[in-house]
Amino acid sequence: MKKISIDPVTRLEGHGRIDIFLDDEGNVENTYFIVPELRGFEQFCVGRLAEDMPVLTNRICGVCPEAHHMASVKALDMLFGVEPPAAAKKIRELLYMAFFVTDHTTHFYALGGPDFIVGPDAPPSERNILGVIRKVGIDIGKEVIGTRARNHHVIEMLGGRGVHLTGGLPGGWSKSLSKEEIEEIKDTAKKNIDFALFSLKTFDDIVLNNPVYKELIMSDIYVHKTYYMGTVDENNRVNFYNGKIRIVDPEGNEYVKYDSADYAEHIAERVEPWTYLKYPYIKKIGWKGFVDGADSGVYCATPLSRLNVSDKMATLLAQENFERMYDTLSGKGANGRYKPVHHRLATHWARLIELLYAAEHMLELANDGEIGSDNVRTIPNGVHCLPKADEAVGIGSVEAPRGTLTHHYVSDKNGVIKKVNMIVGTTNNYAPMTMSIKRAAEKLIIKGKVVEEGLLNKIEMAFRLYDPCLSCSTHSLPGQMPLIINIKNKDGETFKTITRNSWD
Amino acid sequence: MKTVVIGIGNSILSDDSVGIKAVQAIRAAFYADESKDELKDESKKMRRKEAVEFAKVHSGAVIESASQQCFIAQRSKQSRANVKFIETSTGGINLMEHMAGFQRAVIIDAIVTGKHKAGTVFKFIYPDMPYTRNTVSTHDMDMPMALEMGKYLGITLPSEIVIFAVEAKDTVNFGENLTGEVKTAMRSVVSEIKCLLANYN
Repeated sequence: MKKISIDPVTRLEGHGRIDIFLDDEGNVENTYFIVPELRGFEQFCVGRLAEDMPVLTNRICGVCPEAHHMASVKALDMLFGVEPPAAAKKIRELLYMAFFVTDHTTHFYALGGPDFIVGPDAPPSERNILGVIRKVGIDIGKEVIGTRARNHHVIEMLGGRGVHLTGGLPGGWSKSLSKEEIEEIKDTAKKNIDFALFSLKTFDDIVLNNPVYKELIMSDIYVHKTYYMGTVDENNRVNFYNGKIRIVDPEGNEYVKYDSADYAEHIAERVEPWTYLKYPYIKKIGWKGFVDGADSGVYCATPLSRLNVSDKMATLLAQENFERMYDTLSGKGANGRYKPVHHRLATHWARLIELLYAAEHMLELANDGEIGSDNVRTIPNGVHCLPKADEAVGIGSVEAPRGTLTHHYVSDKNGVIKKVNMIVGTTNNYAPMTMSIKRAAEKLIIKGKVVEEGLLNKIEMAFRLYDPCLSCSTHSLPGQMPLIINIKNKDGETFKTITRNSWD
Repeated sequence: MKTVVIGIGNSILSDDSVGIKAVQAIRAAFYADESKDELKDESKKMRRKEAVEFAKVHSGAVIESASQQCFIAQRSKQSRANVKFIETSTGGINLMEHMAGFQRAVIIDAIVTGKHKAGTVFKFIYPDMPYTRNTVSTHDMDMPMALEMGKYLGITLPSEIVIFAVEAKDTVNFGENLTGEVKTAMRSVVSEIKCLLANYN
């Protein structure tokens, strides 16, 4: 059996690696996405006070500390049995919208955009954000930086710190909003809406109006028909902060809808001997391997998944764009719902629709009269133990940019942590990601003949659309992912190496 | 000239936190002897008290000789206004944004070359630099690309960027402490950067 390894050459620990195994014919037999584990996070948390968890867990990752902070503080609401006042919930959600705007903006322009705006076959030296700016114009580069700055300022203002926020407390938030702050946020939100609309128009002009790119999105290299997961509100609309977890089947029918506190009834984790990653799957359907279809428990939780599980968007302009995407890519099914979009590259489009929703909802929240209330905290009175139990349980979830994020804590009666479990956004997608990598490899390696040009990028595109957060999922902070492919023959001898971005 | 000192890493990932701890120690020493007449409000008093405590714990052993003397001599009110200290956890665009508006930058990070003994200190002058652990972001870009983008967009960025990288031993286990070798190395980095700051001023 031949083996092809795609290995980051950062020489850093905690890096990911892709192994591609060929069969005797030289065709792709299997692919493995391997990420070494970082150890001891649960151990690190055990024995600490539960109220420290929002500031500990948000240090797992430098990219999405806001998501961990929110999931954690929601878990604490349950652990302490306390309901935050309405203003506190709205402040949390407002901050969370600002976070989504920065995160989705950065992903589209720095990671996703270059493949489309500059072109998937452009030389790597041009296929980056500078290439995007050169193509779209210098003003858009300034606007990307400006959008990040404006929203980081909102996060800092509300969260107390720019990076690792401290605002979240069980039962609410540590600070109320002043009138001046609300006015500033309104201004930021309006600019965010304009920016999101511009980004969608850019996607239209450059990607959708270009038959080559449109074909790329529609091509079957990047298609997988799996279950989808996402959080929806009471009207089955996309919600990042609160609601129920909804799973739809590959045809778009609701399979289940549940409170995140019941996640363990619905989701199980598969352990494979070749990686430290755990592969979550739908428990009642079961693990059938890395395969598509309604009989396989594999599900996906991404921006596209969130739109696939929702009946509509909660804001006006996002809804218009939602309809346009589904009318273009799938249409309505027999049940009256839009059919799920299985073209995974459409995740980039979905991300922009979510960007617009986050911006619009940010403005709605800033305009909500209740958000300026001074009542932002319900002070808990110890942890909430069940009758005759000497421990308390807290489970909280939010939609992180990369998928549903769940924190689960068990504490003793004094609120000292005994057990921690987390299913982070990216982890949900490990099985689909492995499948997407395999599909891309199959199309590019046939009978031992490797389509060298573009192989790295086409495979990278397969996992880049998920924007995998290895930091979170392995609780590590690896370096960038420059790649090396080692193609090995049956005897394990390397006969070809393709590298990119070596630091030598 | 305005200088920014940036410690980068994960504060709870053992040796990965060396940059964060180093910048905390430098900042603590920098503010430790603010003269009493400057301490007009409680927050400043608190900051001084914390700084002194921190300096005792983390860098007390290396408050020494020449570098410390020149550091103290140069630590005027004016020089304090010209130096900013930042702790951060992500590289790429975020790191570039932290450098915007400064003429000089000093960055401290962990590195894993796998070829050198834990605690080995590397000093790089941008653009001659490898990937250290956290100056790149898997979600956007590496530092050189971010700086190139910033310059292209007309953002004022430092003309001089010095990167101190400490070979880490443990970047796998969660923990708040550095390993012995890296802790010792951090002290020498702290010392050298203090001297560097004094010379800048």
